[in-house]
Amino acid sequence: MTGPLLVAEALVRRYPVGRGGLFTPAARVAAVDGVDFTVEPGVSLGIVGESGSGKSTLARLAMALERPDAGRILFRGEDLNALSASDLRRRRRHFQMVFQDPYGSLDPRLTVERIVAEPLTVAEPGFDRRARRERVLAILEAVGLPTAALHRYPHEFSGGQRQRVAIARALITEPALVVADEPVSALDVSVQAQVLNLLMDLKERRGLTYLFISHDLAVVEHVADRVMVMLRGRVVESGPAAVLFARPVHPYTRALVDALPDFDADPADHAAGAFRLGEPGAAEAGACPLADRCPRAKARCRAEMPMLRALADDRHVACFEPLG
Amino acid sequence: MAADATTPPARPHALRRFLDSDLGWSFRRSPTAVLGALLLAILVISAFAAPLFAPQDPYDLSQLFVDKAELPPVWVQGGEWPFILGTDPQGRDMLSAILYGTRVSLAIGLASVAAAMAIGVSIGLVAGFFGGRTDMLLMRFADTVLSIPTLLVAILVSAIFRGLLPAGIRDNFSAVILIGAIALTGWVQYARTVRASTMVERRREYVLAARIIGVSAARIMRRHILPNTLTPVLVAATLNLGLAILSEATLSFLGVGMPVTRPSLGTLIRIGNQYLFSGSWWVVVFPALQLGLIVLAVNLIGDWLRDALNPKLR
Repeated sequence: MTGPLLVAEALVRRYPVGRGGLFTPAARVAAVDGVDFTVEPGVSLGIVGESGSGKSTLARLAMALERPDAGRILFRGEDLNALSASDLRRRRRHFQMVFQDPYGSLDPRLTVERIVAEPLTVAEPGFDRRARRERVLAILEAVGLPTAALHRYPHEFSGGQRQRVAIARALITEPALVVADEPVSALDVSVQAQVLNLLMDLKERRGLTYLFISHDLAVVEHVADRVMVMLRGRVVESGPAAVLFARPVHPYTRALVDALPDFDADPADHAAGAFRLGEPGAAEAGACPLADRCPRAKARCRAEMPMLRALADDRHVACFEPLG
Repeated sequence: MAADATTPPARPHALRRFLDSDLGWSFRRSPTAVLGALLLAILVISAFAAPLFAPQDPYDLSQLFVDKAELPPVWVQGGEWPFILGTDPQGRDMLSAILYGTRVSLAIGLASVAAAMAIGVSIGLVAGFFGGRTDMLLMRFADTVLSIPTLLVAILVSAIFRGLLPAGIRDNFSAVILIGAIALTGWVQYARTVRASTMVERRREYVLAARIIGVSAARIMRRHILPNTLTPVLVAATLNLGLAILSEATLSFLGVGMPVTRPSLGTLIRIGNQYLFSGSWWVVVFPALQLGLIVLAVNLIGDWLRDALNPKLR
């Protein structure tokens, strides 16, 4: 397959806030405000941002679970929202999703076998039962679950094991793209590492591409080849993971990177050298979304919204006063 | 295959499994539930096994004796064996009539609850899942149905159907008409219950996960949402069974239900009511007592089930 796997073009998604009056429509806030990105096959994209930055909305748009208010989302060149309902359903086996909450995302009344087999029964209804079970067993083994899991119910498993079930369900139709929305943030730290290693392992062995969403920079650094940092529905910086983490240019990215614990450095030095943001204030329309808490903010930052522009070494930044 | 190594041990008997479960534990600890279940078991078994031991087949006119009409119960002066509870003015043995009548009442009650559940659950699922205009339309319709007195609708429905059918076969369909009439007025509660839980369930991530897989709306509703909304429906159904049996009795009492030739408990009470003032109290008292017992047994179980399945009361 040549060409990009997933392309987002100027995506906008607004949500109503409050109810509005009888004759006035409800006010709307943009959760995703003009986001572009491209996911090339084999190049996993990590999306980082604080809660409310629009990451999860972006995931839902990428999965065509919601329609964008503007912009397009293209999977292998096809506009997902222009497809008919049945065509979209047929494409779904090629892009799957893993959710944050491994408790809520599995139907409590179905056995693991039925949960994992369901995508297969939808995508390939002709499968006979034995062949289907073979496929389920193979994928359970691939995600590190025992054969005995087949007839158990979700509540009989730990969080990490449930997330493995959810991953097995996402992978059974052999998708090209897997959208993972905070797949490890509901798990214990020790289990997080296991599940992350599993995801990396599967990426290598099955040639998967991830759209990996997390608020945790350390997790994204692990999994993603490219990274996109979001703030209040906009992209503030994007680029290859290695470059972006080594030399962040946007003040927001810099603050996030500096907030990561560095176990090699002296804690006092690390804290002293850290780049810090101020307390968040009210967001002003038409200003840089970081203007209220950025120590480098100038008058222009409060008056004008910085646009994303290309830098050297394949990265983009939306800032008038970039670092470095 | 490796699955053979982990073959689960033979499943114990269903009753054993029930008594060992959480629900069974709470059942055993509730004397009223055990009492209700025992009572209901006796009533149901005696009613459905009636042809085996009832002294008389009340549907067979050749077994009725006019000279044995209006006999009092055996322990009252003038009573005669084997008419333990006496006879009615047609010479029908009251015990036999009550057992057969219980059969009719229970069957109509169960069938009408099942029918009401089927209608209500479907409407509730569709309304809750699709929301918006569909939801508004269906629920306003349900409100309308609810705002008309149940009995009035039931009488109307049975009157219309009785009017449509020719006199000869009318009585053969009276059970079906009753079931339809009770179901058409009783579905609203199920619809509301299911709609409420559907609206909660459809936002859960497993439903989202099913949509991502490409599962059709109908299949999501049937396979994922329905099983997760059934608990409150089950409670409502049990509690409504008593009400449905009472509705049937009321309609039959009013003369729009079961015919005199195939009497339900309500029909028996209606017949008995006409003779109450001539002193034949047994013709009305025993069927009424039986009706009360059935409803009591069903409600005891229903009350227990409602508490046992309510997570807040655990």
